[in-house]
Amino acid sequence: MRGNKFWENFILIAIVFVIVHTFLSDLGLLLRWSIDIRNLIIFAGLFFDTLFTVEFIVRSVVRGRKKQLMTYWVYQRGWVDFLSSVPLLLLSSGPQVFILLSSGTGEGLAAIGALNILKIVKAIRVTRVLRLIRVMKIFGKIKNADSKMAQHHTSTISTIAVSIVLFVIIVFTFTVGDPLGKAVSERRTHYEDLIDVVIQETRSSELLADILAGDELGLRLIKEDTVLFTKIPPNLWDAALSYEDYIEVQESGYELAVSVEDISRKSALYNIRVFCIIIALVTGFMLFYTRHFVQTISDVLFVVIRGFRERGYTLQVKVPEEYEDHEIFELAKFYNDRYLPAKLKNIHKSKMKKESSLSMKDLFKFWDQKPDQ
Amino acid sequence: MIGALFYPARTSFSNNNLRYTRKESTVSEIGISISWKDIFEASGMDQNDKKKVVEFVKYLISNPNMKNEPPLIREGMIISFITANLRQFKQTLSSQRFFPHINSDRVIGEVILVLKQMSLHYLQPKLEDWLENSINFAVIEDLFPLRDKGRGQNTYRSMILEYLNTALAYNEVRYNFNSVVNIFKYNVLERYLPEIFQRRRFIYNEIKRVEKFDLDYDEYIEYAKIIFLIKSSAFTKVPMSTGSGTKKANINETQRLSMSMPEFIMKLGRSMKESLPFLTDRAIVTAIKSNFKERQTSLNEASARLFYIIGSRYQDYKHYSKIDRGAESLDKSWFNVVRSNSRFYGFNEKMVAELYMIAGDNMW
Repeated sequence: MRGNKFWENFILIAIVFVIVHTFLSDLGLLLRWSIDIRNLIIFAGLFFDTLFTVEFIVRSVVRGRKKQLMTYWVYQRGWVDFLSSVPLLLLSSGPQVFILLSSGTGEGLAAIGALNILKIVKAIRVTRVLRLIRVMKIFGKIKNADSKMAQHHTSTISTIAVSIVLFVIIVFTFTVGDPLGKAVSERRTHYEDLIDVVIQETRSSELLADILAGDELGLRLIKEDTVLFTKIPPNLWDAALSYEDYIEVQESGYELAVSVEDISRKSALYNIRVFCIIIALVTGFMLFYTRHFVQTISDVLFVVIRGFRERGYTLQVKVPEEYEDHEIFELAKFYNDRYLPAKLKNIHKSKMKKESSLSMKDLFKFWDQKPDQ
Repeated sequence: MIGALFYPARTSFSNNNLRYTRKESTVSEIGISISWKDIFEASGMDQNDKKKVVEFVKYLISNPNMKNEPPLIREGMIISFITANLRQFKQTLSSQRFFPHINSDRVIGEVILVLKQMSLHYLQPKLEDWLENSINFAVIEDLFPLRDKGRGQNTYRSMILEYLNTALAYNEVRYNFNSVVNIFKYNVLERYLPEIFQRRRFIYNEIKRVEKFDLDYDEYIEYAKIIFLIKSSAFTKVPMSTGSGTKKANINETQRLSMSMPEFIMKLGRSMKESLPFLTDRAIVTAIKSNFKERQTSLNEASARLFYIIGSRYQDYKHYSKIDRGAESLDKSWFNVVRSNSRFYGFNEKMVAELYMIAGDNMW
């Protein structure tokens, strides 16, 4: 029991950290934090994704053993746990760390030539959105209201809202297309065409190198392992650039590194915007909708239930004028105007009859408690 | 006038004894014909038995069904329980597990005595505190001047305390005194009466114009406090003439047995006047009648009707330091709930409505 509580608290803290991490990963890109810090953030992402994947698997196994797997998936937001763990580990942080480690060996992105970099980066971009689902995980952990019903309803409506936002973003990415992905594609095509045109017209590698060296986005040109120009010394390459900062354009035997830093920053800004929208949405629901729900539903029911359960409790339900035609307040009015007067009358009558809440059994309990006497 | 039948005011009183006195009353009111004196002298109980009785009483008091009740109500509930289950209770006490070697009547007498002592122990410091700090006897002195001037305010205090100690020997007086405890504890009169006088609505008009009570609100508050202190003494027993001779009865029994109410008021009033000679007949009648339902009061007895409502409200008052968020305030809820059944409770409907408005406006 104690271990369970520790685990739950640990996960709660991890959720808070991972939400901060999600924000920082984009902020680092936007503000051009040092590569070391950005790499640290990527490794931290892998840690969190692994942690939540383990959490999801453990929960699934435990519930499965109790034959409650469906309940966990459907009613206890197992699907949120899934979406915010496994796909991210496989499609986001896993590949990111893989790319990082591969480039870190000094062989650069060429070492993972077997992988289609473009597709991976695109997948990463889409799955990053899934990180935001984690914001919803916090609902199961934070008790933002005394009422279970209020908490459940707020959590449900927030989940619906956040899911719809994310769903629309994902659908747009796959159908209409990702404008940032498109910008990268266009840049790639532009430089492929440029190399093609220059080589076709002049067949001069020197001229091509001169043109691209004068271009503010051109970073490095290689032909058959010969570096024709580079703006960053090879030994500083890994320390100065992240895989998110440039793309490799391969055309006519040339390998051109082109900066996409501006596009990455726009992408980070876009992600931060979506992140803020979702945080604002969830916070709004937590603060305002929960409050509204509690005031208009659960507080009313709380008073009514107490009135039903406790003999001496005769407080009326507050009925705000603006809501008095709501069904819940119709019930409250019945409770106030019919039930409570009848209850009080009943109590009064039993007092008149001098009915006592003691029973003869209570007397025997006295001696039962004192076997030595 | 009933007042004319009262004994003349006594001018010499006993010393300022602030300790309560044990009254030689009987416990016949619960069906046991044995006096306290008998219990003490011939209980046949050794120290061990007495200890057991005390433990038993403590156990009864801590029963989950009433552990949240105030001491006076708890005592009343236990006595009601004993009264209602007397035969079984006696059998149980005589069983091997309890007190097989002692007469069960005596054990019951001891139980009730312990309960009573607990209640008096609870009340005594409160009474002393109220008389010392909560009542402005300078105002009382103006309202009810003593014939023998120069006696000082302590005379009033000691007279009232002595009278209360005598009256509180009765179980029902103690039980009904719970409203007074709450009224003093929560400054009910200091809160409601200024509002009533400030609003100048129904209750004010009833008091001022119909009852023709020409007091300012601060005087009326002190007056009301005195009335509340002695109000419960209507539950003391006075000898009443019945078809089968004279029988002691309190207000409830008088009503239940259809005895003459004017006779009860007169006899009780006389005994009150003996102990509290400074009070006017009108004050004494108001105190007695503040235990009556509206239909039993006269048109010009608005104060009695008002005090009856306030007393009823605070008799079973349960204070919540924090009100549930979706709930109305304590007094507003109560006045609104009883409003629809005012006649059943014997309340004046218009007075309840006004008190409801006051409670609502002040979130009481």
